[in-house]
Amino acid sequence: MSATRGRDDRPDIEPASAVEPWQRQRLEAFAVFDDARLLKSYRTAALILRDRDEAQDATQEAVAQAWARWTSLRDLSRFDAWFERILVNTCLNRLRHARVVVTVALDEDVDFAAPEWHPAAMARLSLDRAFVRLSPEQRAIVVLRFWRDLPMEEIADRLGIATGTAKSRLHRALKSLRDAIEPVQEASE
Amino acid sequence: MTSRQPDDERDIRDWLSDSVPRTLPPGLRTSLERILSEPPAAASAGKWSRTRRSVASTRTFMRLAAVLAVLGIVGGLALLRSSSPYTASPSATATATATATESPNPSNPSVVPSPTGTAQATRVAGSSWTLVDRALPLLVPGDEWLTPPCPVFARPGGGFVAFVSTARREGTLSGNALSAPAPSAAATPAGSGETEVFTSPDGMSWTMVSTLPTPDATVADMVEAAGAFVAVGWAGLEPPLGGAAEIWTSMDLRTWSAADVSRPEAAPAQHVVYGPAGFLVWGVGNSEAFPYDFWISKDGLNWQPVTPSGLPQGMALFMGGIGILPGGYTIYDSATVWQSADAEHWARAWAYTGPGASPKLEGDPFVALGPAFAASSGGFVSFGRSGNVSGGPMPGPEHILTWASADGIRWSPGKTNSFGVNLAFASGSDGFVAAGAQPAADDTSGTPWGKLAAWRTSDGQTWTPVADLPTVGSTNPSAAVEVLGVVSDGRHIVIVCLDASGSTPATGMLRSGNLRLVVGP
Repeated sequence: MSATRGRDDRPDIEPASAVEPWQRQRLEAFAVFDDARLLKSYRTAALILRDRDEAQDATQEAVAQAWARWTSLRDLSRFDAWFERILVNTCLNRLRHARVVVTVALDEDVDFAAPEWHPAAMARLSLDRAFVRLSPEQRAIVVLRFWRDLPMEEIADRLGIATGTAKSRLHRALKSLRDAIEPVQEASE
Repeated sequence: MTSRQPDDERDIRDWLSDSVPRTLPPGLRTSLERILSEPPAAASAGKWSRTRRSVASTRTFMRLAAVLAVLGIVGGLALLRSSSPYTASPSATATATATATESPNPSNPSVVPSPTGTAQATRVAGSSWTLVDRALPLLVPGDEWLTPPCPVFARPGGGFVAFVSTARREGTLSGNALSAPAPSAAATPAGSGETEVFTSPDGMSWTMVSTLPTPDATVADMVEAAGAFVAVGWAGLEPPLGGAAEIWTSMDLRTWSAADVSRPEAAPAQHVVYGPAGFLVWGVGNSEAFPYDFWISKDGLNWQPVTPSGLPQGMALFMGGIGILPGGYTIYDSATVWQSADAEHWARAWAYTGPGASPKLEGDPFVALGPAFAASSGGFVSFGRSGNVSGGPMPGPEHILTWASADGIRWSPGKTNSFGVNLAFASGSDGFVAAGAQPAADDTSGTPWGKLAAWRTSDGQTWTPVADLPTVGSTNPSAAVEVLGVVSDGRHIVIVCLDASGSTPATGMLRSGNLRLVVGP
């Protein structure tokens, strides 16, 4: 099913007399939440949260929230943006309420000069570690920008912030990530 | 490395692409089918039956909310006993007076439904606790799954104030989770959207005295000081999905003014205390640019934003509470204490350095301060937590760690206890009370609802179960309660429970919204 179907392009449903209104909505929702959309949502959550179990939970929560508000969705053509905003908020919620964040300073246990480290692996490791140090919003912006390839205006919409704010946060996030991989690049040169 | 920037972005894209999951987890489609098996209004209930880890996340937030609420009340109780401007008036707009009856069966107080809209109090024979039912209107949280803030606050001079939002009432009423039916629509008009203010001298009889001037308002905290009542919270959805900061002030609980404290990226106001610089309202910020959102006011009417200095940025996520000590505003963050006399300039006053002070890796032990109370024997106690870092964002098993302090700043860890879940604490007339929902013994899902349970301690170290509590909720997952909080005015202890039904076609919603108060000495 296309994500951008309009109201007039819904799947066939049983006559109104045969099903309850919510059952019609259920058919509609089943059609919208196809595997492709679920996988895309799960991937986005997994990248933001860096935890696949958490991502599964977050996706389920987002689906439950969306279903609970289904009657407020007036235009299915806006579904993707609407649902992605719920999903991102769910991920941010989980990150904000995480009580303990485990961080390990990059230079504590990684010797980039060690010959067994391949530069690409080192870069990924550095990014892994730098990414989890970003704020929840920065994580989301990086994923929406570089994985989802969303323009900044849409990223700002997903997060409910001004476009300028989104840009400045992306700038700071990129600086943090670049600072993390610089030593790797220098060590490999 | 400026010349490498385009490659850096490519590296980031490659890294994201390499680390993205390739396939859909099989359980996700199953979960979707389960979620969609119920009408849309019931869907939020399904989230509780997902995994233990996700429920733990909610438990943690609820615990944090309880910590914040209780600590503020304690601060008020300890230091703000100066004012009591409100006098009940016979012209109150509505009154719900509980009529106490006794039940001979301690195991089943036999709550018999009273006429619609009439509050009812039931005391089990031989018990010192009274179950108060329907003294307050339905409290139906938004479509969030987070436990709502405790709506009842103790007054330093005695008595209680409650703020109950009637917003989103329409269409969210469910069947009754316990034996008594939920109030009918006639008793609780649908969707008025107002937050009603109630007062009570004893936790049992409640009088509605006013409504807040903001639609769909949720009060997260309230303090009574300097001749004013200052309530803080948000309007609309619970944070972080929505919720602009709101501050309401009243001199008599009848007439309220709302302060305009909205600003870009502002956080929902979550706590208020009164200290040397006046009222301080604090919210957890939504971004690194606003890790905290502080507002301060001398009179409770004119508010100024404060940009605090000296606080670590990441603290907003882990803050254990804020209170007032002779040194000024005092923040308990994990096992560190921060103080400020003016709410703007902060300094670290103390940091625990023993085992568990600096967890870094999965499995590392950690300790944390919790809500702090003045001890009757002098000094302070804090009911914090200890455990091991789970490695991910979700916590692992935790224990209650009692801390002791002579000055409220320097703390020593004491005894560790393991009882109850989702505990809230209050200081009573002869010690401390902990209350929480106790899931069935075979319930390993981590659900935050269950049968009400409470414990008492005189020294903060050794806890004894309260044996004569009325039965509120049961071990049946479709008939249980969540404990929103426990408050004490020094004479009465009020445990605030919310009916929490499971997700069934009959009940539909996770919570019925019925507030049940258990009042004891």
